[in-house]
Amino acid sequence: MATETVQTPATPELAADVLLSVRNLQTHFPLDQGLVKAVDGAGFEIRRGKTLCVVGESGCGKSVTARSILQIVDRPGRVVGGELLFRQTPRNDDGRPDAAQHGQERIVDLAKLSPKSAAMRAIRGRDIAMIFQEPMTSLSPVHTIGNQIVEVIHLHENVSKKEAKERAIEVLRRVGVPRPEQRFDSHPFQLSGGLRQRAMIAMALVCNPTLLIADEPTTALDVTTQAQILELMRELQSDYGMAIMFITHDLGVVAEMADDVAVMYLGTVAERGDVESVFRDPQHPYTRALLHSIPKVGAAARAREKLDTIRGMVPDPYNRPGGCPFHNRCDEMMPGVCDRILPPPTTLGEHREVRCLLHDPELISSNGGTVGAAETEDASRDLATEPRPTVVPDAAGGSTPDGDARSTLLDVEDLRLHFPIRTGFLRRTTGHVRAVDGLTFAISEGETLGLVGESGCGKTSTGRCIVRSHDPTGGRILYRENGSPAVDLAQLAGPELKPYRRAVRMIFQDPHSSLNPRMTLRDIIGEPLRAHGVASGSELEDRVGELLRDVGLRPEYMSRYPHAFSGGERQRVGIARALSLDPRLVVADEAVSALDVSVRAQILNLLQDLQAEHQLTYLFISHDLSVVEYLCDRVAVMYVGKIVELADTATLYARPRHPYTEALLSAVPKPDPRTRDRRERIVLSGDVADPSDPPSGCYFHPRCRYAKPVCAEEQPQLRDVGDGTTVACHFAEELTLRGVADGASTVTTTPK
Amino acid sequence: MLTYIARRVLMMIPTLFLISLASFFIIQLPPGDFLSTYAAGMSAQNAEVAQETLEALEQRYGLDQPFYVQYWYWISNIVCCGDFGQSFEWNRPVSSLIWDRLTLTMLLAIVSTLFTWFVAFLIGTYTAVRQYSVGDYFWTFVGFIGLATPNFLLALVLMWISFRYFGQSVGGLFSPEYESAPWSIGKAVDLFQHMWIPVVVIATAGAASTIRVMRANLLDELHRPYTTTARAKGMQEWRLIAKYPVRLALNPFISTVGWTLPTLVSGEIIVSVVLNLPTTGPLLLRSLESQDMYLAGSFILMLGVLTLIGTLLSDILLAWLDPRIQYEKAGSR
Repeated sequence: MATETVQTPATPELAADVLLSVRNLQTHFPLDQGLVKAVDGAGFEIRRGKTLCVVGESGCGKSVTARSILQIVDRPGRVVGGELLFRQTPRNDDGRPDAAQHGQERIVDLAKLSPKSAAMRAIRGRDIAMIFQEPMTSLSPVHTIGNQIVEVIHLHENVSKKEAKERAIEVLRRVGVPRPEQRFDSHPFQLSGGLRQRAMIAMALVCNPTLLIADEPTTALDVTTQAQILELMRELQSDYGMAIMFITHDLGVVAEMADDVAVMYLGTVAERGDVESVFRDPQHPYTRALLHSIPKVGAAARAREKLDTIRGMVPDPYNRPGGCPFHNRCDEMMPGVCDRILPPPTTLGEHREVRCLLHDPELISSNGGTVGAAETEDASRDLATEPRPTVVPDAAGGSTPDGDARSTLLDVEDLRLHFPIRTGFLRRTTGHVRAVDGLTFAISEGETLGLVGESGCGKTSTGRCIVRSHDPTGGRILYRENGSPAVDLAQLAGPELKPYRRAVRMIFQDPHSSLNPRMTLRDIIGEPLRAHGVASGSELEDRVGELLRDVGLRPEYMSRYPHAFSGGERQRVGIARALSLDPRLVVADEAVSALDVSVRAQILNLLQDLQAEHQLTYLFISHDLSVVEYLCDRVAVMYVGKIVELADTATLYARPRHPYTEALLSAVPKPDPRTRDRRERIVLSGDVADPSDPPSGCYFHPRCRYAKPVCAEEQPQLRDVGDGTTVACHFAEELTLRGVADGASTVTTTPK
Repeated sequence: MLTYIARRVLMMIPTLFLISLASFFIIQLPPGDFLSTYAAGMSAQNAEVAQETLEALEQRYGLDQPFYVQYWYWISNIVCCGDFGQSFEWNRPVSSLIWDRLTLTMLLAIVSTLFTWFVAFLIGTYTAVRQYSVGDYFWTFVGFIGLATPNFLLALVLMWISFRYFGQSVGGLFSPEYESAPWSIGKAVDLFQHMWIPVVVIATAGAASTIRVMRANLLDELHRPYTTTARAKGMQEWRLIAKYPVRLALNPFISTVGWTLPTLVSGEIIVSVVLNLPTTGPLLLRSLESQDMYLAGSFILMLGVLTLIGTLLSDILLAWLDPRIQYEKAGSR
């Protein structure tokens, strides 16, 4: 801590281009179990009109840092130390930015203000505004959008009701909300996720803030919607000239958005600097580990190497390690040094700072300058080489799909799931929501089929039909095992289904709500065994222990309850439950979407290992295209209940045939800051078509940039276009669509 | 929305039919009927009732008819002429007995509910916002005392205080001089002077549980993200709490507002007996004891109707106050 005082000048001076300087911020939560130092000496700067991305795993204090800036940390948390120097734009009596006093900004230390003071409240929502992750829960469900926006204006500015309403409508229009006059009176639940987040942004921008704090604003959204929102934020930033503090755990988003990056770990900033150099030349082992654990779109993902993961997990807040907070997960840990000394921030250049003892000038000099030098070299070499060659023996038969050679396990033919819409006094059926509408595909034994599409495309409904938790309204689900005759699962009911319930299992998205909190792991994992009369008593216990070991948990955990485990561990429990009956087919519905990058990599590796070990077949449902590419042999792209394209993973990603696939691929943020300006993005406008009232002809034509008149009239059928690709587009042959293969070379980090 | 209400009202008809049938059936279940109770009561007083009189009465009231015939007489008269029949015991039409008491009961119910909510929402909000503070513990303590104290005991205490220190006539809802007087300002004032005791008694028990429910609801809502959003806008703490979390924490109360109607008609019987209130509770109790079946049946039917109307009212209210409900309804069409 002694070095801290050297870093912090005594007077609140800010460099001319700095809007907010966070210095040695400390936010603590005195809880019954102990003092939680959620933010413990974090420091970074936000430059005027620039974007700072704060990245790190969950539990590293990113959100608490953001909330500390506004002094809205939930009780009992409190900012207990440090400085938050903010350059406040002068405002006139009405509360608007005063052009006459331009350049005469006041510098305020927000940490010195009381959270409830009028001065602090005046800054919130006016000078510094904030948007949140889940726009559905962050907006009040019972107040209209307009009411909630106008409220901000009235809080900070002296304007008439009429004027406030006009301004709210104006800003709604600016953020791309269609028909803002009507939306003004809408409730949040009447809008789609993307529109809700736009409304949230409008609410934040309505008083022209100089700093916008965005806490995971796109995490809950689809890739395509995410691309729209990111695009919007970039546009608005240049219009309004505001700075953005963007919190995310997605390094792809960082690469798209950031000017500067701060990597947070356990309440401190492990490394910060401009985005270029952090991505090209990461100095902290944590940054490097994070960059390694992302499956890369278009990269050598198809080689199916095991993903690099960070050892262990974020320590729980009561047992934070001494010395360098990262030392117990660090591959380059120096025993006797890293576990004792808290690394001071070391400046490496303009805006560049790292907190790692490998870079400590004193240590380097005492070691004859070898440690640091060797290490930096090591780091660049580490990145320059392709991901480490820890290739898993691929039982699925390598990446080249030889689906014909394998026997077909599941044949889905013309699957339909229609929900009736009942209206009027007598509840007559007046239409159908076509959740799944004529789906045909096959899954071979031992392969992994990916099912992708935006939310509302019917992916989950398809999965649920296959595990028969929904009753399909049409079509066949033919299941074959070991060459035995096919059984149509769609026709079976009740007890007839029981044997197939063992063979077809499901892994759920949310590991928090899919495990009964009142059951121990023994009961959770053992329940299917007991229900099918497979095992009981000590035999059951042995089996559960074995399953726990299989998924990388200790058998001793058996009598614990789910709440004792982290998200990643709970997902392992969910996987163990799915595997308990030795299934043939596992439907994984967004199984890794709720997890952090590093944990996600661990789970993906686990899924791969288990597939090899137990000869599993996966139907992997996801909206995350990078994960799908990493894990799947073939990919089916769904749009409004239909498959629009089905192809081998490599082919699909290199050369998509359907414009929808192209748009999806284009929307994925690439974790390389250098490609962002060169890349032409296809931003899909609007939302997924309404499955109860789909457009005429090709369902995708209203959003398709290649649409021709015939697309609105005639519905394209799925047809084979060679390369093992089937596609439903009239112009599949004519169009030359861009995949991600050409970007692959630029995605992998090249040596300096 | 209108079709929704219309459908709900239509669905009430078969429900009401079943309720009336069930209630009539249950009243008939105990052995004997009003006449045998009556005869037993008379013989207990050593006054023999002639067998002929009993038979004449039996015929007059149709008590010798089978169950469904009796039910038919009763229900058809209610539906076509609004005639609830004759109370055996009081020898007066049931409707003349019920309506007066029902009005007073409703008045008492509404006033005490509003009072309960006013007190409980304020205290509940305070204890949730200041969770685990001294104030929270104090009010929690008071609340549990209120829950644990038998209502009749509190009624007796308050009656004594009112008599000893304010010199008021106690019991009932009116002073003797106003008892049968026509309505006037004086009578209304007198009513309110008497009403505070039952209101406080009923509200104490109700408020105690309502405080706990409000506190728990609000604790859930206080940590919702929209509260943080409002705080990030720069709103004052008390304003944002009143506008957002409190508003949402009220929903469960609105959805149960319908239940307060029937409980207040049939409930609080002991308090009413102790305080000698001219409400429906004691009358219902008495009619059940004496197997005065038309009176009891009418009461139970009334309770059924009130429950249904109450539920419908709270559903409509909730749909109006919480737009998500209407949307879900529209969504699940």
